[in-house]
Amino acid sequence: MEVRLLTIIQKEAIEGKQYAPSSYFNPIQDCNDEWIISQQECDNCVNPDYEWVKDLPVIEYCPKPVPPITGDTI
Amino acid sequence: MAGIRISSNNFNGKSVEITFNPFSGGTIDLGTQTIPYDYISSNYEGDYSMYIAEYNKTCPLRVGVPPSPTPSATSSPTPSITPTMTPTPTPSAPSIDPDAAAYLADVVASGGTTNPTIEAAVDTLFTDLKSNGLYSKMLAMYPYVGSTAASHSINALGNKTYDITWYGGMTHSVSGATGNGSNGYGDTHFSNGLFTQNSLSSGYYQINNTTETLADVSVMGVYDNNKPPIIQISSDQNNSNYRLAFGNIGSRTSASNSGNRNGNYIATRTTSNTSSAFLYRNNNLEITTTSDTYTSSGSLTSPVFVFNFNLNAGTPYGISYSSATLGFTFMGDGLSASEVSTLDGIINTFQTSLGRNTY
Repeated sequence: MEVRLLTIIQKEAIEGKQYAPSSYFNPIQDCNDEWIISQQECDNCVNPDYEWVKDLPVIEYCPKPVPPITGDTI
Repeated sequence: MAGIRISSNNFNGKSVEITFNPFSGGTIDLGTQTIPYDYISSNYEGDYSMYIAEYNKTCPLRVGVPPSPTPSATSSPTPSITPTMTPTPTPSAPSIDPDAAAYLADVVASGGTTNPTIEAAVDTLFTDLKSNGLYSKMLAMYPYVGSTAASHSINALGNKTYDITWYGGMTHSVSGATGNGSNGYGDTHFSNGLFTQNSLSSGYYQINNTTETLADVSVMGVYDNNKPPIIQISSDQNNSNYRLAFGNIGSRTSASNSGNRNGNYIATRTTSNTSSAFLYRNNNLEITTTSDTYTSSGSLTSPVFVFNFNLNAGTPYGISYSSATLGFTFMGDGLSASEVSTLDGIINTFQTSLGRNTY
């Protein structure tokens, strides 16, 4: 899965901002602690203030490891 | 919303190919329909042509009065139709449920797209919920029609407070709403005591099969500051189990799945007792909670998320983003087994009408 790489300044510029009707950017960190957004956010962005996201570098997505929640009863 | 019902004394129950020429101009192919058929549109006045292939008969129907009547319109009978074979279409007042009409109007106003099939499916959804006493048990519901982010955000019960806000990457189409498995989710804003502590339900209709490789990928849920109960419907790391949590997050109950993750999921709790929370899939009981840790002790205070679950007052859990395609989501009051069965059928009928059912 390909995603788009953000600088910290770019992340802070778009976090929680609207990119399309009813839709808001949600930057997350990948396994290398880099800030990224999804390809869909770039493709669907119609807010002229953030058209620049379409030019962000493309990288392969590496999920950030998070300890799973344990204690299930099976 | 306006419209007509086309019915017949002779041919009700038959498949009819309907072509519509509005007085306003143009031709609309309404496709092959089974009559009685409701055509819901504000522009329903004009000439209808109905071809019944089984009898090789074409029957005309005029609804309304044309703006400029022509001589041929008043002097040309239809000799090819015999009295015994002539259907008697009867235009009548539209029968669409007013709440369904209001929802469909919202979908269109938001930029979504509807058609007669969607309109009929939504009408049936609302009328079936009402006639079975389930509409009043729904607290928020999302039928995901209209094919846009804005139309898929709409709470069909009308309270705009619970319209979904989408975050991250989502895809919206006639199939429903699809998460991207990395950062896409929806905030329903449905929270804070709106659930009754010991009478609550939630569910979703997953259209696609997903293979989860990460732990705790959740399709919907909320977990509120370590205070049970939580609601979470999720998978485990190797995609082999369902999980249902209606209690402490460290003590969820899991059950093996069949390898298929699609289907109609309904979770319900009706008392505070142990073994009082259940997860059904396609009307089969998959999970009954079994531990004392599921004894309810408080109400939820954070909003329910979809395509993830809400961890600690507003934050989606880091690796729980789902790539499911959903055709329906709801939150409601607690449901009995009988009510679950009825609701399962209503939701599946809705999906079948839209051609996106899984069973």
